[in-house]
Amino acid sequence: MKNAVEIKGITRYYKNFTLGEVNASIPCGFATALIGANGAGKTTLIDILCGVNFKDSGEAVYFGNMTDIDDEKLRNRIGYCSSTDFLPVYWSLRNVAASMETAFDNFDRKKFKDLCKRFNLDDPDEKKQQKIAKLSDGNKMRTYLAGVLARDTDLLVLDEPASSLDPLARDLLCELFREYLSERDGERSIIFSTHNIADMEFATDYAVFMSRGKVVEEGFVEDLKQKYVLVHGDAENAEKAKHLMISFSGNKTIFEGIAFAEDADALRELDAAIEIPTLQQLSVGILRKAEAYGEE
Amino acid sequence: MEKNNSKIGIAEAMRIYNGCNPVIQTISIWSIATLIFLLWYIILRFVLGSTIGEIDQGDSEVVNGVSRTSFTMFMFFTSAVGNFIFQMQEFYKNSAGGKYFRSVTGGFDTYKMMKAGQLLQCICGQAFFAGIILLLNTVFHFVNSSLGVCITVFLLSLIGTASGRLICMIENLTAKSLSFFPLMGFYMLICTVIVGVTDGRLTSVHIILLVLDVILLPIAHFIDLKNFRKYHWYE
Repeated sequence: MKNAVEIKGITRYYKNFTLGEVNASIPCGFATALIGANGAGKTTLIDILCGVNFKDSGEAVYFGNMTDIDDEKLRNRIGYCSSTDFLPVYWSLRNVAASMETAFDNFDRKKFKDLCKRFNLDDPDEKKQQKIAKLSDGNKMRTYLAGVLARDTDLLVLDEPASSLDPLARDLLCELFREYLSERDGERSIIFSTHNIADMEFATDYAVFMSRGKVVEEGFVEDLKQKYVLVHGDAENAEKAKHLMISFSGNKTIFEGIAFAEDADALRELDAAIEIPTLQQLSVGILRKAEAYGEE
Repeated sequence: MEKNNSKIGIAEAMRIYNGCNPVIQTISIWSIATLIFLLWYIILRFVLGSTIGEIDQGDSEVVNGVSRTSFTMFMFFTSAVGNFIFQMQEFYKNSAGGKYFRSVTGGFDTYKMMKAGQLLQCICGQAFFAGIILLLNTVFHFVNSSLGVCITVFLLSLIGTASGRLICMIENLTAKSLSFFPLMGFYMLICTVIVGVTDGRLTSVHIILLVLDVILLPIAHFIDLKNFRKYHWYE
């Protein structure tokens, strides 16, 4: 399988935080979610991948053979959007269009206008326009997304695009992700970080879980759902089940958590109910385990 | 990260960073500055005219002297404010737009081009401002020796531009503003003294000012760029 990005041992050192070594393969043709707690290193990794931050060591290989993020051709192929204040607040939609069409070879003004309409934003050709500063957080994000999606790129890298959007806009974002990927089937990819896992599950094909600056798990969502199971049981069997589970929570009457699918039979013998986990449940289980392991 | 393969020119870089045409932006801002200056000056002229008229029963030399001094001061002050608007824009990574600008084609090369353009924008803007005032003075005759006044203000404003570029290296906006305006006040004082001493004529002082501009502007520009790349571009 072709990879959109291959991350090889990327590290970045800060006073209170170290990213890496990060090793991950982002498959081409799919939407990949970067999932992790606050401070896990998702934004730092995204910024490094897009040339916004520098790395201390390691390498990222884009589209099989491109490694220099300062290469104009590569920058043109990547559509990047940060989570907050991506564009100057004193700009209007007209400024966004003027800047982006100069900055990138592949910005389509007509598509930008259409996207603004779909996101219920003003017409960028109108004379009187609101400044970005006056927009709500959700509309600011819609503006950023309209700008990035109006470019004909091969890879979208979005840092928490859904966090400030309302449910309807999130749904539209998922739809736009699908449209983006299907426009050139198998050639385009998306990487996005998110905390709204439940809302974005529909749009997620591949997941990379990060904790304390490292990748702790990655894989296609469907494969992960076969690798792990969701376990429910009565509290009387909790102690016996606990050592078979990777994450565990319970009270006086029941327990719940995530376990490896290979331990499902042993858990069934303890009268536990086994279910396919949702991505949200998987994330909580995997990240809890990683956090606990990190604390040890 | 050192590779330079950007084909972005100064005008394009400025369009990327400002989201509009830099020529139109320069003309708009400096036209507004000119209007504000004229408004201030006309009000001041009325106030001064009546006050001095009361004191001196209309001694025209005194009125003209005070008028030229205030004209010079306000002209320099307006020029400094225009300078401030252009130069104090922040492009730190965590400022609004900071990450976008780091992701655009050309990366730091585009930033470099934009800063060169910004410097040109300041120089041309101040020249435009001085030119317009000179033209208006020729028609309306606000003060005597307006050529000398305008050239003195222009040349000292350029020193102000160079100093502004160095002040830009201060991260804190309040500290930046608090350093910028007292320094501009000092230059304003020098400006009025030069106009007073030379009586508005062009002298060797202006050649010295020109030489200082030619030396200081590129030095300040490169120090600022080097500092920004080293401490702020990737942070």
